[in-house]
Amino acid sequence: MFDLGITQGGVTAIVLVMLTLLIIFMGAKVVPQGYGWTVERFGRYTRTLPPGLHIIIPFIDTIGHRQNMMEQVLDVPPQEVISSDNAMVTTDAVCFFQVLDAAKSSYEVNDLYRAMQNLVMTNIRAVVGSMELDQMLSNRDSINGTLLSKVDEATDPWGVKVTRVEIRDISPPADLVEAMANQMKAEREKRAAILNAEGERQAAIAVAEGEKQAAILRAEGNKEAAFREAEAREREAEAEARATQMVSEAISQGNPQALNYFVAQKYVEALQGVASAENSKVIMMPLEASNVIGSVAGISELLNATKIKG
Amino acid sequence: MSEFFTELSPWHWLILGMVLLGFEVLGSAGFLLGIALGALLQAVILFVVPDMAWHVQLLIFALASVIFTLLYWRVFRRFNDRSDQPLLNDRAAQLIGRQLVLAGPIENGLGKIQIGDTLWRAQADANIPAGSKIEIIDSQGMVLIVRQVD
Repeated sequence: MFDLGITQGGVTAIVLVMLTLLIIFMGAKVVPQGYGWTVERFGRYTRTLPPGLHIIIPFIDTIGHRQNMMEQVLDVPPQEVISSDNAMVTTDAVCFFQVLDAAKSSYEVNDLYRAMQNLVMTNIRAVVGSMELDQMLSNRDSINGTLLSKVDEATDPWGVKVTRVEIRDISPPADLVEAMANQMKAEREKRAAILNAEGERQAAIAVAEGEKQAAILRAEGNKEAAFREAEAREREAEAEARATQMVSEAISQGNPQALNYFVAQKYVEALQGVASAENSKVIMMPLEASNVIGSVAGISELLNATKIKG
Repeated sequence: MSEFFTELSPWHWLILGMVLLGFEVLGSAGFLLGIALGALLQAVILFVVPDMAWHVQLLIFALASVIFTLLYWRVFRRFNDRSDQPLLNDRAAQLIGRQLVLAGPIENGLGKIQIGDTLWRAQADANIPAGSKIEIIDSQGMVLIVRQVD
């Protein structure tokens, strides 16, 4: 022994203290919340330690795996998938899972994360590859559902519950995207052209319809007007006949000299009109003076008649 | 070296115990506590029996440390494991007691039930037709044990 002035019993005591401390350090295990530690007795799994303070027997028990029992996110790297209509698309996904059985996930599978990643990737290929591009782009939900059930079932033996698998991005190549955009544009243009034609057709119909209505109305108006005109002429003729009749009746009953008075008045008015016309200094008058004189004579006769009465 | 051990006084043990307690407070969740208590016990014993051989002191300290650690773990296990949410991180156990309506039937004692947006494997000791009301009564790892509710 080293010459430290310490007896062998003393050395033993010191070593024993050290060993004790080591044993306590090794035997007391504090498992944090959210983890499950597996205990191996001589290399064989015996139990899983839940969160909290635990004592394991040193020398024979060791901690095997420190398994994360929280829900975890697994990024699935982008990969190229060929759809059933031969379009090459790049997809990536995200997968949420939780270890429910620490023992199974530690010992049933060697590298859980790599295993899960590859499983999700191959399943994405299988599910997405069996679809056409259009379906792929519009049926995310059903893709996610199918993936989830498949992956969940496959990871059952590993003590893992897959809570969701989400396709993050489906991106077709650029030229395909352009073609899709063109198709969409053409579709819209077609619709616009159809709508235009439809509009023009309807407008033409409406115009023709209007013209027809107008013609009909006009014809009807003319007809009505003709009817009324005829009626008016009839009425006029009737009135003239009546007037003539009344005049002749008046003449036959009264003095015919009254006629002369009217005629004379008109004659004189006519003469006045002719005389007051501006552009005629010379008036050609095919007047029969005798007529005027006759009318004057008629007036004198009237006067006479009044004298006799007076 | 030997002088240090031969001149061990109760104060040394007391200081050691308090230093260890300080480390325990800083966070080692219990495994330094037993050692600290061992040191404090040794201090008390040395007050009572002043002329004790130093290797015996060390022996007593080592034994006391182990015993106190075991005692602490035994006696305070319930206290240590007390939690506001004992079912944290245990998905299947959190579902126990929940009642739901079966979407698909349980045949040959096995079936699938949908909870939230995930499917769970369900086990029952009888066939249950679809559309009937069930209750989750237990969980075994990944499998939920269900029974029909009338």
